[in-house]
Amino acid sequence: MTARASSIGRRSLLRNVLRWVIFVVVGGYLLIPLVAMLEFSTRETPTAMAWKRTALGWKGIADNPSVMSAIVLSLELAALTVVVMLFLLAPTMVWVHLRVPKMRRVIEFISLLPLTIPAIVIVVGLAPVYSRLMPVIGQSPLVLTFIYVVLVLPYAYRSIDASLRSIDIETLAQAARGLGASWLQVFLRIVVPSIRAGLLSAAVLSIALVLGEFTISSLLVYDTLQVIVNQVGQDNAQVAVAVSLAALLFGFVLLFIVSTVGAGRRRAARATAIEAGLEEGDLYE
Amino acid sequence: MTPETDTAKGAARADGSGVGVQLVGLRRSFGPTRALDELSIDIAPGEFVAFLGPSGCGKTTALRIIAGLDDADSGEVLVGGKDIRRLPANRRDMGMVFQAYSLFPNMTARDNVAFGLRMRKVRKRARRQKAEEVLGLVGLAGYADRYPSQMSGGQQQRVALARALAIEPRVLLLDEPLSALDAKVRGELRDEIRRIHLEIGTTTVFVTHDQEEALTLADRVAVINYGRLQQIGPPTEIYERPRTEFVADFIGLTNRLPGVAKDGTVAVLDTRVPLLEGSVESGEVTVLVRPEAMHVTPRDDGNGRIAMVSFRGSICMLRVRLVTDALVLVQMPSAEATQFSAGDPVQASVRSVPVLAVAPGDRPGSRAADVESDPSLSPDAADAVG
Ligand SMILES: Nc1ncnc2c1ncn2[C@@H]1O[C@H](COP(=O)(O)OP(=O)(O)OP(=O)(O)O)[C@@H](O)[C@H]1O
Ligand SMILES: [Mg+2]
Repeated sequence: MTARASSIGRRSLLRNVLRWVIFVVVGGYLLIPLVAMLEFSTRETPTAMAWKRTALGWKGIADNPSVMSAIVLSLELAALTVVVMLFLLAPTMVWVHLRVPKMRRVIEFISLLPLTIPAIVIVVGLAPVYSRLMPVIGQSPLVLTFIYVVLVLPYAYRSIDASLRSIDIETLAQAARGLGASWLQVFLRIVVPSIRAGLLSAAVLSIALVLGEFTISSLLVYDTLQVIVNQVGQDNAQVAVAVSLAALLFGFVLLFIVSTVGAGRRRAARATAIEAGLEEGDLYE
Repeated sequence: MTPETDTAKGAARADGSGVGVQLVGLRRSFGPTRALDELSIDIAPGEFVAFLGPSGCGKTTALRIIAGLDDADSGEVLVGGKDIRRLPANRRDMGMVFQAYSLFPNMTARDNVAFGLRMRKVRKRARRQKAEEVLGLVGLAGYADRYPSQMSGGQQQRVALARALAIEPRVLLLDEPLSALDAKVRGELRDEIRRIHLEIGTTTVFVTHDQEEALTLADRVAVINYGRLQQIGPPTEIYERPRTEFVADFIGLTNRLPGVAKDGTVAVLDTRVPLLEGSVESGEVTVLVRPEAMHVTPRDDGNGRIAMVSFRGSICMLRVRLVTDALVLVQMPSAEATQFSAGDPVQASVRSVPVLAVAPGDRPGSRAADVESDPSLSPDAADAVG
């Protein structure tokens, strides 16, 4: 009896230790670069380690007008992308799910396609289109939204699809129809609230992607956040690192808000949020 | 009742009876599968009809067509005498409870129940009041603020029932609402459904593949196979006077015995018994006999031996091996059965109740054949006999 009890005790102790080791290793892996960024961005003398701290690098963000306007532009792009993406994708996916399930594969294929196309190919392909469109839609860098919507499609598709699958949307829609709801009411009152977590995570993934996008905007010569970070980094590395860290922290805060708001009351909703959270990993691969 | 819901349809039921529903020659195919094949059923106002049939026979398809969630290839659905084919699902005023859990996960029980009223623009206070009233009717008075994830399966189906009842539907459609529940809860909710129907008198279609459910609940049972109506009638008629081999096999247990038919009667195990309508009327036939229509007496030179006695409470099932090597089931009160034990020689005979005679030969995979091969007669089948 006691022998077995102590062996169980030892095993659970071992498990606890293991848990902490994993926690520390993973935590360190994720945190050390951030701490290093903070350390570097606040150094008095950029070329050497020292204890003296300065906020000059961070002040540089506010002082540099191109950084500020890049932040604003990127946030605008992110917001626009999310809006366009949600308005295009959510109704389409729900409609396909409910009314033309045979098309599900096709939509999935199309939505995942951008994953397989390198950014450079998109740019080369789209540059002539853009040069044609310029006179029509104007010079605003916000036209990047169109490309970004395509770019975020696979990620947004995956999160929305996961949450659509986690509930029996067909039966719910039929129940609502039988109770007298029009299709619009079914969509707004039943479907959207049920897949809220998926929509939120699609939005967060899109925001993260847009805020982090460099290749396309740089090639098309638009001054988005990452392009400016890169530029600033060439003459003031500390400001560049400060901006990067700020962008990262902003992303974390966003994720945190969504995972607390989106987790909601329901276990199913929480499961989707976690799934979407895992997919977040795809971004940094 | 709120003024908003007290419309013509509400008034139609003011006397406690509902509207009639007629299915006329419904056909529906999915590719090569014929889900419904000329299905015609006439449901009287206020009647409780069960659609009974094996899995895949088209019950759900029929219900979905009535509800407007699917379209028939041809045929008509008349409700209150009017063809409703062109009416979309959201304007049919039918309350449906689904096989799968279907509560809106983002709403409390109260909001779920009030949803249909909300779609009908009933005011908030009237909505709430009606929702609580109907929740009380299904025995969930204190559960209005729970979310579906905070309720058991049985409670969820009760809320689903309340949600369907709240709109005071013209027709109540129940698609195996009990199939996901465990036996005890299923029994309770079944009785509850019967009670509620007696109370409100809405025309009700109850789909099930469980014969016990159908027989205990319904005013009339419609037995369906391969999308065709096999027979419709009161439970006792379906059980005692099956018209087709399928109905006899599907409902309860049957023994298959060889016999010779002539002049409206059939000779089976040395007894002459009357034939039911739908029987093969002459020549060699297979006679379908219920275990309770069989009878054994001890006799040394009898036509069989007791193979097994299984006790089932107030009744006993005897398995008798005939000299022809066929195995038959005999049901008798336990008090009478105590005199028998395995190996006893007996004379098995048939009581003089009308029986169905069909073309000779075994139906592969039929229930009677199952009795032969399965030594421990399945318990639910035995229950149904009782
Ligand atoms: N959407 C569909 N696509 C293709 N075939 C279908 C579809 N719906 C039903 N069927 C087929 O039609 C037949 C009848 O199906 P239905 O769902 O009406 O059966 P059921 O009697 O309700 O069975 P169960 O008791 O298992 O619910 C089945 O053979 C089924 O495979
Ligand atoms: Mg079904």
